[in-house]
Amino acid sequence: MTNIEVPKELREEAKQHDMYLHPIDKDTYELFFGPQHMATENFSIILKMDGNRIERAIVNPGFLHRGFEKLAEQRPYFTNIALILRICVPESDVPENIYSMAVDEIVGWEVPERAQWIRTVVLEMARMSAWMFWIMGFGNEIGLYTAGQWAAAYRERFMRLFEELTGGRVYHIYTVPGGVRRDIPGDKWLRQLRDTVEYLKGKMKDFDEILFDNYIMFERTEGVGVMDRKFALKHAVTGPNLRATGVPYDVRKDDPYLYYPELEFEVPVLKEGDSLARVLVRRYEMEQDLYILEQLLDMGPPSGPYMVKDARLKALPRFKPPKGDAYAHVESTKGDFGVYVVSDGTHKPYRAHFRGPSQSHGVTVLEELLKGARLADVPVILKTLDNCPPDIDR
Amino acid sequence: MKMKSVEKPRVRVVGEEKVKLKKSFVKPWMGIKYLFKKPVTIKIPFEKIEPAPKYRGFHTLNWKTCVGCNFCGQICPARAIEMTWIEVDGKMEKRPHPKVDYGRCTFCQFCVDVCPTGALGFTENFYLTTGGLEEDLELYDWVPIHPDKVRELNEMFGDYRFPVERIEKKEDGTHIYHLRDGSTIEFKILGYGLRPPAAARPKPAAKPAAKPAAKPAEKKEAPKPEAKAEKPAEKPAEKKE
Amino acid sequence: MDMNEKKVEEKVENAQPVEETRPELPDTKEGRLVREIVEKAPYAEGSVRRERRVEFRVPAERIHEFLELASEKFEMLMQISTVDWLKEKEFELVYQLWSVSEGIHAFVRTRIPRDDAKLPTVMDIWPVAETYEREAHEFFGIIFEGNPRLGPFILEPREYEKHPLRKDFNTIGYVKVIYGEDFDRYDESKTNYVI
Repeated sequence: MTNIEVPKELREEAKQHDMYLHPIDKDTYELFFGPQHMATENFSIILKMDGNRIERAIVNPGFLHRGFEKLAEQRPYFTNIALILRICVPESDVPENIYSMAVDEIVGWEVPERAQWIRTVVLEMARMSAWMFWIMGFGNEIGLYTAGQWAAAYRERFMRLFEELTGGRVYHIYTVPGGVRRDIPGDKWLRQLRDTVEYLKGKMKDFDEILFDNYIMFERTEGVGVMDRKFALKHAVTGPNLRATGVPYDVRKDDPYLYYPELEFEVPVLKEGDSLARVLVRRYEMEQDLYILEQLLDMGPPSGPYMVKDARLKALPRFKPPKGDAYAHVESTKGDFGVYVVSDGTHKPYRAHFRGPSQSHGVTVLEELLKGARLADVPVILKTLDNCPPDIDR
Repeated sequence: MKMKSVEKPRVRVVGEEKVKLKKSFVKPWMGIKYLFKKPVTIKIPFEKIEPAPKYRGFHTLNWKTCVGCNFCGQICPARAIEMTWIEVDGKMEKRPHPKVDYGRCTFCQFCVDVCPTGALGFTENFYLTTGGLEEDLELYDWVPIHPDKVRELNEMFGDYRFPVERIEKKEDGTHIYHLRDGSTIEFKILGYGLRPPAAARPKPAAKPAAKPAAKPAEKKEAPKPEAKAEKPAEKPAEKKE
Repeated sequence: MDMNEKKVEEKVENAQPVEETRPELPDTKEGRLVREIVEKAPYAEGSVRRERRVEFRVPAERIHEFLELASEKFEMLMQISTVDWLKEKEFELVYQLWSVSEGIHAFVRTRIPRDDAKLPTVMDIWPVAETYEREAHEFFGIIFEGNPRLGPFILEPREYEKHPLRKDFNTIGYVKVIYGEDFDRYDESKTNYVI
């Protein structure tokens, strides 16, 4: 048997850090936060409390472990699309797209212009609907439910657009290696998208009024969960969380993919690194995403096929890419979402390893930020980090 | 930072002067204007929304053009498709047809994409609700029916429900689909799998007999080597456990 | 074992002069970065894969040293990907690094034997490695010496030390044990049980 014996002292040490064996003395108590709490979504934090202060937090993920990476090794390349997109519920297009990009790179496909344009639009729409999802959660956590309700309604507009484009509402199963599965349903759809973008641009002002300019929001988030630039880099924090600490790193800017090299946008950066900065960075990015969508619509979809022409695609279940590996990543609303795909020349991927942004900011960073925070700040920190537990569990 | 801005001048980094907001006591009250606006919600009994024109719903199958190649079964991520040997009016269909289990189906419709003859299709029908009864659940494990029939039913009812109301099963494998408009489709399930059952015997007896039987010429080669390759790998491992 | 490792090292060092004369390190920012690092760490093998992707191969016993050196240029450790090469009886660990200042992604590859999977932790360089190492430990059984939190992480405690992402893990057997026989689904030829 190749099973490795874990040395005894290591196991003992691991046990010490295990959740249930944690000693409690008479002044402190242990609080199980989640997994049924709205803010934690699907994982739990074990908080060691001293009165209202958190002494120590232990993140306990695993409630959503569905073994995607193991299952992906047992399924053909194209089939995996229907599986791996379940890693990230609010923006399911991100896993689809990175996986497709990695397989494209292994095979050496040059994805047609039209498909690239559609993929970019889909990614931006996914970002927008994920922002709406985030406002929903964040608004609820700080007690401003109205904004949350609005966001849920506006997200519906994007879901409707997705439904017409892809045939699915939440899980679109749309981007595949080599292109996309369907063409744009026509000019009517593009008009609808433009209408939606215009509509949301108007609504951004309302969001500002009710949520982002709100005195309550400032009071709840200012100075809460502060991290500095060095800490964030060492902990591989990405996305808006990193930009709120003063590092202008955006995958769309630094490692441009698809149509992004041709687009014009602004990367917001703040220096404070607290929850408020994270919220404001997100708010600004929302505006930029609408602006990007507008630019894409102004360009219009390039003509041409939406899928590469390749004889191997005739027998889709037995499609075999050459040996090789690739890493692809995109900027999701939560941060840098990446995948490492290894192909051994068979019709199933040898390994597909995902790097969810929450893997870095949802475990060690969260534990650090929660130290010394008050109990009421836990949801705020969780939501401003925009933690997504399925990224950790997979 | 300079290098990058030379490379991509289109992307700018903006700082606090643009990103920061001022907190306000008064502005949140502006939300009150929404009290006088129309709600965005759909009032369900009075309003309804149609699914999008190509919404991925239940499958349809043209039994005449299905060649039984099992591409759908191979691509299915949830292994919801089982190839089924069917006898209609006392005559066995030459090729197996897919049977879709909606308890497993993820509605990805990859099976429709790979179908080489376009026999497998889909409709916008999306209502998948049952009571907890066993027969209700069995309803959603079917060999899809002809698209024209489903379309006809949709026009008749227009509520995008499952076209079959009840599946009657008999001892000898006869299945009768009672459709929503009262008509029935009767056929007999002879067995499952890629190999044809030896005779019109019920399924379990057919399997061992089927192995030496002559295999039909089509797409048999593809799954076989893999089956052989996986087998030895699995067996010893099981013993270890 | 030792002999082999030495040989590997020798080979790498022998290959070094060839490396420098190779036209493969182009005069781009990637090529310059690789050259700079390889000069400081002659035991490593560096190459440029494409624009913004570079690759290093490092012997396992010097991985910590190399990563410490690389961390000056590559600020972030994005992921530690483990690949189980069953036939070669080796684990391949790929440290995915990202350089914010240069905009370059680096794969740092190292191989360790499957039956003695031990590596030093890189928590002291990037604290985030703790999470990645816990994951690699749980799914593959690699021991990162110095990481205090190796233990049940994502999986349930009863699944700990089963190392499910190893290629020789019997998924179907495990599913049968946990869920019983009602989890019945066979492949298209009706001979193999599938997941």
